Parts: sequence; C-alpha cells; structure tokens
Amino acid sequence: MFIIPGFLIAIVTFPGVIAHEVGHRFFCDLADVPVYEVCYFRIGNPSGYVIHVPATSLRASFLVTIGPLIVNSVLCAVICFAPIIALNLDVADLPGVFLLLLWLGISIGMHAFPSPQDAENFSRAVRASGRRGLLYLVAKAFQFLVRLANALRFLWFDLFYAAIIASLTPVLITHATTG
Amino acid sequence: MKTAERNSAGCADAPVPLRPHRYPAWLVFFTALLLGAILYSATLIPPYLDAFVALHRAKAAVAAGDRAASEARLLDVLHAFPSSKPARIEIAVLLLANPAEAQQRRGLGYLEGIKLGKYEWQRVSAVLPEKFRNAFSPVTK
Repeated sequence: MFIIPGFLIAIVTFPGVIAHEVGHRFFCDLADVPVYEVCYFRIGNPSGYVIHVPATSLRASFLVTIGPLIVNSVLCAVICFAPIIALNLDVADLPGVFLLLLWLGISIGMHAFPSPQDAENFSRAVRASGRRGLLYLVAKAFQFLVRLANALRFLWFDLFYAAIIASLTPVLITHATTG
Repeated sequence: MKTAERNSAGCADAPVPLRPHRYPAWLVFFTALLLGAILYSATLIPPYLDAFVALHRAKAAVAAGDRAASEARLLDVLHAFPSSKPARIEIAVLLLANPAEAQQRRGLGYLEGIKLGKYEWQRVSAVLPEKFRNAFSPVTK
C-alpha cells in the first residue's frame, strides 16, 4: 500500500480540511455550543481545529462530531455530480472546470469522517452522559465506526469513501432511468 | 482536523466566544467562488447528463435484447459526444455482433484510434470476426 505523510495529504486536500472545520463550527453554532477559536487550515498537526466548550448534552456532542460528516459528504456529492457524469462518458476536451470541481469534491469528501480527536471528545461525552437509551446505542455504534474509519485511513479509506459519495448520485440516476 | 474542548466555567478572564454563524471574509469569498464554479458546471451539464442517461438506457436495452433501441440511444450519445469512448465501444460491440458485413465494418470504424484496455478488448474480441483481427495491434504502456 502506498503511504503518503498525512500533512502532505492535508496540503493537497486543504479545501477538505477547511470544510471539515466549517462543519464543526456550523454545528457548534446550531447546538448552541460556544466556540472560542477556529483554525480553518494550517500546515502542521492538526491541520485545523475548533476550540469550543464541552457540549452539555450527548445530542449536542453528537451534532458537533457528526457535523463534518454531513457537511463534507453533501458538498462532495454536489460538487462531484457534474464531473463524475462527464468522466463516465470519457470524452476528449473535458472542460477544465470539471477537473477543478473533481479535485475540490474529492478533497472535501476525503475529510468527511470525524478525526480521532473528535471521536475521543465524543467518547468522553458518551461516558459522561451515563445514559443507556437508544441515543447511547447510536452514539456507541457511531463511535465504533469513527474509530474504524480512522484505523483504515492508511488503506486510503478516506479516498474510497469520497469516491463512493461522489459516484452515488450518478449511480442513483442510472438506476432511476433504467429501472 | 479536530475539535478541542475547553472548560471555561469559573474563569473570570475567560475569552469571549466567537459570534455564532460569523465566518471570515476570505472564507465567504471562496465559498462564493465555489458556488460560482458549481453553477457554471450546472450550465454545462445538461448535454452530458442526457448522454449519460442515454448510454445507460442503451446498455439496459441491449441487456433486454432490444438491439435497435440500444443502437439508437448510442447514436444519440455519439451525436452529442463523438469522442465518448464507452459509447464507441458499446456500439462497436453491438455492430460487430451483427452478421451483416457492412454493419461489422461500421462497428470497426467506431474503434478507430481507440486504445482498448484488457476488459474492453475481451468484450470486443468476443464478437470480433476473424477477418478483422489483423486490424488490431498490441500496444505497450
């Protein structure tokens, strides 16, 4: 497996890092979680961060953690729609804007999954909640998925996820039009 | 790529939180550029989308045994995008499988100048009449 240092991937896919932090920030605001500082992108580890007060409820913590997954996945699907359709036709003289959008969309999709730090914050919130209801079970399942996704990053899971999300809408169109 | 939590309770000199839903000007500017690029691509996409749907309808038609409908759909795609490689290969496979030599020659014409991958060559060679095999030559990467 071809391994590239994380900071180089973050530089090449910097729009994804920015969208990831916007996702956290946006959902912090939605969940009324005060934010103190945001770094949308920097060269270093971590390549971006959002400093906020601990979420007061498991629901709020879940929203803040899942924010980038929602924002980045939706953006990836929308941005890649036109380029993926055009690429499927494999035509000569593809408009340059499609290639630009493909890079943007895949970059954003690659940073959709919450980071290990996000998963850790969420785990802490799950433990602190002391709840054992349906939300707790959903939270535990999500926590497991986030950890699994991060563990599989060295196998380019993030790129595969972005490719799947990018192809999803065209695949749905194919099924809808051909029955 | 992370969220850090800070417990500010009880700190007299705690920093002031950022105003909700306020984003830096450069971020708003780049978001506007991104939206512009998406809208521009949306204006370009209709013929691509029509051709994409026609290509998949052609595949569905040939799978259902309706070769005439499949050819008509593929010609629609090639009318809009003559260089579309998957459409050219699909119509070539369709025509090469036709027993009429004139149709086979038409099919061969669609493959002119195309470099076929292993899987594509398998599909073409499965229907390629023996007399046309010398029209193809292997290429190295």
